[in-house]
Amino acid sequence: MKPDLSMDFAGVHFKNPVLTASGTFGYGDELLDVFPVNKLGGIITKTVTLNPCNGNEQPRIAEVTAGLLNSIGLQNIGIENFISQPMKKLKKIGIPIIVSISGSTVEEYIKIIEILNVQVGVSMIELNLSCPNLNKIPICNDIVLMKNIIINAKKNSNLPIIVKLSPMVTDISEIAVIVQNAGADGITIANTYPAMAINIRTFKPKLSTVKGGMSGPCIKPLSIRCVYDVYKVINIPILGCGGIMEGPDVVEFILAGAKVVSIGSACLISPFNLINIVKELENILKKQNIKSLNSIVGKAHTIQ
Amino acid sequence: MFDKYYKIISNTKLKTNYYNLTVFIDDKIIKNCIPGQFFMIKIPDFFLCRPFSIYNIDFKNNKISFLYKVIGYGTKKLSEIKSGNIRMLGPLGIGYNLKICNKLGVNNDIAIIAGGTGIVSVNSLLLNLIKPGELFYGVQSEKDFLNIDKFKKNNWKITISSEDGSIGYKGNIINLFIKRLENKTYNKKLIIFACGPKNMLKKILYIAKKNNIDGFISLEGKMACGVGNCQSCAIKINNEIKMVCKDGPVFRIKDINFE
Ligand SMILES: Cc1cc2nc3c(=O)[nH]c(=O)nc-3n(C[C@H](O)[C@H](O)[C@H](O)COP(=O)(O)OP(=O)(O)OC[C@H]3O[C@@H](n4cnc5c(N)ncnc54)[C@H](O)[C@@H]3O)c2cc1C
Ligand SMILES: Cc1cc2nc3c(=O)[nH]c(=O)nc-3n(C[C@H](O)[C@H](O)[C@H](O)COP(=O)(O)O)c2cc1C
Repeated sequence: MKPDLSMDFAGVHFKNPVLTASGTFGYGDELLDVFPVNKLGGIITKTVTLNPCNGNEQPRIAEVTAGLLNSIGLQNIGIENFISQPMKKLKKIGIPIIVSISGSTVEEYIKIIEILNVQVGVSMIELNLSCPNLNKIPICNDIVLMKNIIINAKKNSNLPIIVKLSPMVTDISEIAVIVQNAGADGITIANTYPAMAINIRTFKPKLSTVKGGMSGPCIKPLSIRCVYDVYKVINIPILGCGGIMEGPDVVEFILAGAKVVSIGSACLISPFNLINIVKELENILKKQNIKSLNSIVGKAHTIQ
Repeated sequence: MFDKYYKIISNTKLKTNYYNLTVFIDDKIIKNCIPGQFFMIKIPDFFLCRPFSIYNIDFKNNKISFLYKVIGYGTKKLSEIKSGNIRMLGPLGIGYNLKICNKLGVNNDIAIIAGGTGIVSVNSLLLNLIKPGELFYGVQSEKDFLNIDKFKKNNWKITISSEDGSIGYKGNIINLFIKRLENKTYNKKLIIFACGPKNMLKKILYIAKKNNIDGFISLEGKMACGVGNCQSCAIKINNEIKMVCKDGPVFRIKDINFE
């Protein structure tokens, strides 16, 4: 019998737990003609802001051992263009669409949410709170503003709201509890890790912004630890993210406490990696005689 | 777009630091390969794939080849692989629009301007063009000069230059091209195809616009994914953000202006 890969997460049904991570699958509509997008569990779009944004100067990626650094800088076409272009195609795919949004003030978030509220085909909103506030401090390090954004997002939205956290906070469990208490329906753990690389020939940092966010297999154990710790203290579901390259990595995140996962860097190597991961997951469950993925969520906490 | 392992036929050294990688490719995929397109090649031990233009498409023998220069760790490692299978994603990007190329070519003179490894991208185009023209090929030095027999065989007029004067005229190839324009040696309107370093392409675009010349240029950009997902190769064209990998690498001259 085919194992059951489906998951209910924050009120939305996913046929499998493999989602694209924000910013690593464009807006989600680009590859529709050449890639079977509908085999994925869902799509998380590139982070969209109220107004179009050009992003940072080149170079904005650098390879590191088992991963990469990026400083794309939220380059995007803005919410209005997103609605009038990619969204038209996204809603026809038939899998849940999660729109990742970002802003620097509560008002910006509310404006974007009001626009998304009246759109057909959006299943959920992910608040990317790793981006800076007006004082250039990441929002998830500005607890008052963070709470305010979540409370107001919930108040103004008729869609489930999940919150994506940066792992670089003093204590991610503490922040996760605050996110939950502010009313979020789910939590994404985690975004990239601040990092840096230097060209030893030119003596210059490899990114124009000097520092950037690290992703890829080199961060997986760090993010697994975060998911594990957060699972212990909250009741809302977790979307795990960080360094997933193959099927077993997904199982690891699920055992640590995630219900679904999003995959970024592996998709940059090839979008087909995501399709393979779904297949591998199915084979792992078959082999270990596990009937449903849902039955092993957080199992690493009970077996020790 | 296909993600597949290809059997390596050969990966041979052409001269110091330059290699030719040739792989078997099945009918289904070769049919989709257009000159000017590229593949992302997965090199063992390196996380990101590396982009390489298609150098030659051999429909008869089901082969495609790449010509690359060893410039860093990835290309070094690639040059050490001698046999087996290699994973590649592609063909990717917008290549030369052959229909338009040949429509423009019928009533016009054709020139190709290639700088350094830029010769690779235009080499795959050569046999698809409706008639021969003039090749302007500029290199740093004789050490970087790559085989252009295919152009010779097909009756192209050839102008070569090198920065250090070790082969052809000494100096920048663009100056030779400008001189030719000034001498008005072309009977008809000129159509150009250009590929090379960004600064060279910028100058060519400027010259083309000034002289009302149409054609195509092929750009390079630092990219992680090659399919438009990571947005790292973004460039500003006509005040709009475009991706070299997905909206290019080949762009029509009349459509673009870049800073
Ligand atoms: C569309 C396209 C087609 C290309 N076609 C050819 C070709 O036919 N022949 C050829 O010799 N070279 C070609 N290049 C350049 C080639 O991709 C780089 O030389 C190669 O990626 C260098 O890898 P490395 O690990 O040796 O260098 P490193 O400097 O060690 O690489 C570090 C990182 O920078 C990237 N990088 C470095 N230089 C370049 C560059 N010039 N362009 C893009 N990314 C770069 C690498 O991909 C890697 O991610 C092409 C580039 C593009 C974008
Ligand atoms: C090129 C690139 C762009 C990204 N853009 C965004 C973004 O716009 N919004 C966001 O929330 N996360 C963004 N991320 C972070 C990813 O969504 C993900 O959290 C991170 O890469 C860790 O997962 P991975 O190791 O599977 O890549 C980006 C990552 C990369 C590599």
